[in-house]
Amino acid sequence: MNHSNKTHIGGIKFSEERAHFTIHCPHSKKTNIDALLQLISDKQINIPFLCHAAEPTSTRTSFCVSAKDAPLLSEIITCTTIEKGEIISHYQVGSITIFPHKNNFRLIAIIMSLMESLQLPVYSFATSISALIFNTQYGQLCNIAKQLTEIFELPENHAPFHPEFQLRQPRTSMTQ
Amino acid sequence: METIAIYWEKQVKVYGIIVKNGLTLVHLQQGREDTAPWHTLLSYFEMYPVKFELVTSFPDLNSDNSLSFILDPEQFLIFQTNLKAIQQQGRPSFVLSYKKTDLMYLHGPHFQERFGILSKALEPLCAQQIQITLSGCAGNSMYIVVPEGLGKTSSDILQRTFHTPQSA
Repeated sequence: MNHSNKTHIGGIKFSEERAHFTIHCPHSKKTNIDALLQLISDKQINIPFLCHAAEPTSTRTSFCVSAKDAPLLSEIITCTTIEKGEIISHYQVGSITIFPHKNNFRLIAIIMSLMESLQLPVYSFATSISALIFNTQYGQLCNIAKQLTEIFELPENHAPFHPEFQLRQPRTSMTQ
Repeated sequence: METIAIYWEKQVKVYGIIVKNGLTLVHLQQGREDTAPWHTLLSYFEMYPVKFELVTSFPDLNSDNSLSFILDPEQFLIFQTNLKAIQQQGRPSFVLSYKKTDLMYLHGPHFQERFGILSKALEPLCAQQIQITLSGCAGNSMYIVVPEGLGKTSSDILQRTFHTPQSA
């Protein structure tokens, strides 16, 4: 029997280093989310995280790309009608995946409480079918890992937080 | 050590496309005058639980904290009841708005490691002038929220775009 007061979870996973962009596209502008995603796709840049919302006068989109793709992404943005004031950029970002969320707010409340106590930013978060994924400072991942193990009970055979291998889709010379 | 595997698919495979109609998008924005920590606000949802379909939080240009979540009709009724209890406690000053929506979600192998998947999903919807009310794509999941009544049309488009077990 386990007498720990820690919250039981299934696992924690850290991402590689990423960059995080938030873009507001006024409806009046030519560049919309569809056009931007197409440009990103044409350059064969992967988007491992995205949140998007349509609002009355604009759309609001936050997304991550790998840190090594960030310069290319900045180039893409300069080719659009998106202006500097419509973008918020964060570099040296890490995504943390924690599961399961069990479709209730408990896990989100615990994480936000922890991040506020550590005075660390959460640039964005979203749920997947079973996990909560949130974005914060990459350089703080080790510190956060220590804190997470204080509040969460992990399975005994849990894999390392940092991935031991990485799947990568190679770029081809031609776009489809 | 690098291992190279070659995998090719004519049409992007997904494990299925789920459609849920008649849901409510709740958008919550923390008021500027509300200086209470964000987690205090979230703790109300912990105290008065509801089961969500999707939750997203990402910044506005004015950097106010905001939260969007999708509830089915039963959970939305519970949320409204809970809200009265929260408001009776004199808290909080957040701004709430609601929108009736339909939700689709799909999952696919290694979605988060492959480029072009998002564009493939959203492009045909945008081409049919279907507004993406909200989307949350993380891990290998893709959630797409559209205005109420457009779920069937949207999922038909996605069924044609992706290779689902039904279309095998």
